[in-house]
Amino acid sequence: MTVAAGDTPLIAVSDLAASYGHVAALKPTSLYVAPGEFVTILGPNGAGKTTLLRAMTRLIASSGRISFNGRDVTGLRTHDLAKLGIIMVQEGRGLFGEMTVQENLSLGAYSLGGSSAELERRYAKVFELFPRLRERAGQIAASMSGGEQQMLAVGRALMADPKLLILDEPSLGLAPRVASEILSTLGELNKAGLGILLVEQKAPLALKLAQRVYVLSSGYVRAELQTHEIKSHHDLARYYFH
Amino acid sequence: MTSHAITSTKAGFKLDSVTVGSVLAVLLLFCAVFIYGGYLVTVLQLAMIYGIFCLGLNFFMGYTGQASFGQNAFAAIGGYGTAILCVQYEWEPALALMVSMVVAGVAALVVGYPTLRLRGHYLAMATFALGLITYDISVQWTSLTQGYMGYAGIPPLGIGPFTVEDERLKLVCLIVLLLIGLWISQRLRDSRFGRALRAISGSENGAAALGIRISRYKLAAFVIAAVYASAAGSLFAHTVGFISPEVFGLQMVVVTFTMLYVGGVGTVYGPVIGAIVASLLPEVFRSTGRFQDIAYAAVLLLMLIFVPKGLSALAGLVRSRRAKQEG
Repeated sequence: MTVAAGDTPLIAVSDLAASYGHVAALKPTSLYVAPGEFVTILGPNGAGKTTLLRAMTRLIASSGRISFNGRDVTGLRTHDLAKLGIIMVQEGRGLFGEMTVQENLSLGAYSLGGSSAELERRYAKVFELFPRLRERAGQIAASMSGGEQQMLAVGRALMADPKLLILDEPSLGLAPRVASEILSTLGELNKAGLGILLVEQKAPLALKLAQRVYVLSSGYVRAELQTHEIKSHHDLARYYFH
Repeated sequence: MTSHAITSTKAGFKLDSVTVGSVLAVLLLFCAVFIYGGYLVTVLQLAMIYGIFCLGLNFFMGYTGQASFGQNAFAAIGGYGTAILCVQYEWEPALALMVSMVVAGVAALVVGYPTLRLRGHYLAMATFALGLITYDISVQWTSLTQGYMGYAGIPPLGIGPFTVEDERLKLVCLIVLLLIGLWISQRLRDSRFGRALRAISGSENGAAALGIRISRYKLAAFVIAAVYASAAGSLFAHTVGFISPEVFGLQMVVVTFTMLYVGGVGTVYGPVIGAIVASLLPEVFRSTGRFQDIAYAAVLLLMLIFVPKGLSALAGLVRSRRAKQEG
């Protein structure tokens, strides 16, 4: 899926750059996600993938421009972006380990305020996708398995009713079967119209779902490819070690 | 699952032998103190006041996970506010207490707005400076605070014609006020507001990514802590009848930190448990004479080593050990 001339992308960043001290972790980078599109960012360790996501969600200071649904959101802070519907599942899940599953989920719907009926609708949607979370509602998040924690992290993000879901390596540390299960759920969500931006090390899994791929290496976008253009891993590898 | 079952996230209170035993021990202690009276009544009065202070401190340090070494400043505002209003202007004690709480809340808002932009050690140092500045003001601004002389003759707590003169009755009033403070603390902790605070404590970035406005919530927690501290300062003034700069000095910071960590920082009941235990322990070791401080410090160290999450976590610790043995 591409954005035709005149169409507004869901999110577009241009010349986004970020550094840690004197080290430029992300050099001026531009990318976009079209409405309802599934985009994957691939790249080796240290390529700047997490930095890119953190810069996009204003978790770290950055330069460049960000627009969301055609609106310039460069000056907004993380919580404002979340209220607009840009929700990120961070690397390592970012759960509140000492809270219960239910408390974590309710925090996902934080921006909703007090609307109980809508809250119930969102709970029902999350429990339908991840029935295990309903069974574990009263359990402390830290006491769950890695796979269940990742389900909770995604479920909590869905409680915010996102317009764009950003995920940073959701399969990290998970058994292949569990990782595949979670990524399949993301595919279903995308089919239902949710825009997804996924950073993933497990390229084969990610490529099955994504419509478009950005390859990041040494802080630069080395390539932008349609997934159907990628015939073999060699097509990607040559960008990895540019 | 019903609507209520899904949205309710209240913390459970599990009854087991440790909890029941602890509650019974506290009840017995209070009964004995009421019957025999004497010095222990005063010790428990102060424990209740410190408990109120620690409940507030727990909002900022426990629930929100921030460091503040300057809450004594707001206790000083409460203490001096109530002393000045009652002694110089003959206000009703209850009214003076409430006005002082409002003043402390506004002061926390004004001071907290720029200060809470700092994080970690920088925030701790800034709040520490706040406590030191307040101490200096209470010493130097003699026309307002009477310097080292302090304020004497502060009337006991009361409303209209009713004043609480009897020491046992004072203790009852303080217990009731502490329980009200505890109830508010628990209600807020289990609310949407409380969950947001605990999310900030868990991960500021994680909380912000969910739409939580970090700076606003930190400020709210700081103000709540200040209001509790002010109430404690005012209650101290009305209970003891005298205040001086030393009452709200560095010693108060050390004592309240000890109470909070002994009881369990971030827990609902920890601040109260810590206040009672840390107030009574020195009295337990009084008979050891010059070894009193050493014995007190040794017991505190043992507590921190064997119950690092505080005494309020003791029941959970015993439960999990039993489960391991049975498993």
